[in-house]
Amino acid sequence: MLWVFLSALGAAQFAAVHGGLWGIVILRRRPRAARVSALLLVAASFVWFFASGDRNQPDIGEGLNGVEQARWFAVSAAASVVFQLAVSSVVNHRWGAAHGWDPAVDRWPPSGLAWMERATFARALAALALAAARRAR
Amino acid sequence: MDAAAVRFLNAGAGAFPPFDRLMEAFASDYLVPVAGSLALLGLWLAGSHAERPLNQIATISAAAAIGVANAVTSIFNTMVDRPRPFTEIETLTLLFYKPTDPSFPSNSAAVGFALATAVFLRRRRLGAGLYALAFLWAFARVYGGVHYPTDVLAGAAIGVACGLAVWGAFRLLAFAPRFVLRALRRVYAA
Repeated sequence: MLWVFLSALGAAQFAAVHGGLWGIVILRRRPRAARVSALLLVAASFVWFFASGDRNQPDIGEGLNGVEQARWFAVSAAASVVFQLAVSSVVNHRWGAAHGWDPAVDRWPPSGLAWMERATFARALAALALAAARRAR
Repeated sequence: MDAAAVRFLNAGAGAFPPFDRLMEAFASDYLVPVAGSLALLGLWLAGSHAERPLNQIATISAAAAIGVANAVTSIFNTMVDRPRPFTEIETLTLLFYKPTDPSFPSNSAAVGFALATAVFLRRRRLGAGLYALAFLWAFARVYGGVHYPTDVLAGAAIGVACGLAVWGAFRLLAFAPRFVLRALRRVYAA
């Protein structure tokens, strides 16, 4: 589970830098370091997992069958993504303030991951909640 | 001939332990599935404005292709009860645990090639990398003595067919993945 958590952290951070989704990049100010550390994290977690024990366990004994594997992967990867969204929202808090949405002008904030190029995830959710509350009133 | 081929490929097993460890890792139930899933996670986030929706549709189609390939393989497994090579050839050096399900067709080859095909149809470079991983996974299973070459060839054919079939279905029913993406965009998940 830790293996998937760490490698998903690395893979998602690498892809976020590649896609310019700066609002969810933890090392936003150092894109190169973010890329390198993300790749190292993926590689190190793979090496650690396979070097730390015999991974050829029967899938109906000590190992995991396909369904269990898929479930654990989904849980660990989701936990990793939530962790990244939370941490990146905190470390990029100030940067995310200039996100380009003016509630006085636009009714709804921009939708989609593309907005993470200018806003943090927490700000995006807050903007969405604000717009929804305003509409409800 | 199939038995001769698996004997030939397995002959090197045990001769060079570092290579055996590498093949054990590739043959395992974890390395390629997790690497492939991480590639899909990365594909979901990567790309420019114009590319990202296409990448995300590729990710959804790859997940669907894996599901279909798994189902098709399971159906074949119930129809063809072929024993594993290590039960028929006593001289094999086994680098893997002893699976109890039928040998034909290889589920791992089907899943690996379905994933690679679904991605390759939209993202050539990443798809080529996933084909390489799928090939290594299938080869390692034969090298390790748990599949005959025809098992993995049939699995690969099923995987490629499922990848193409899902791609065709997504072209016909393009509204379905777009609907999913539209819903996910509202909560900044796509």
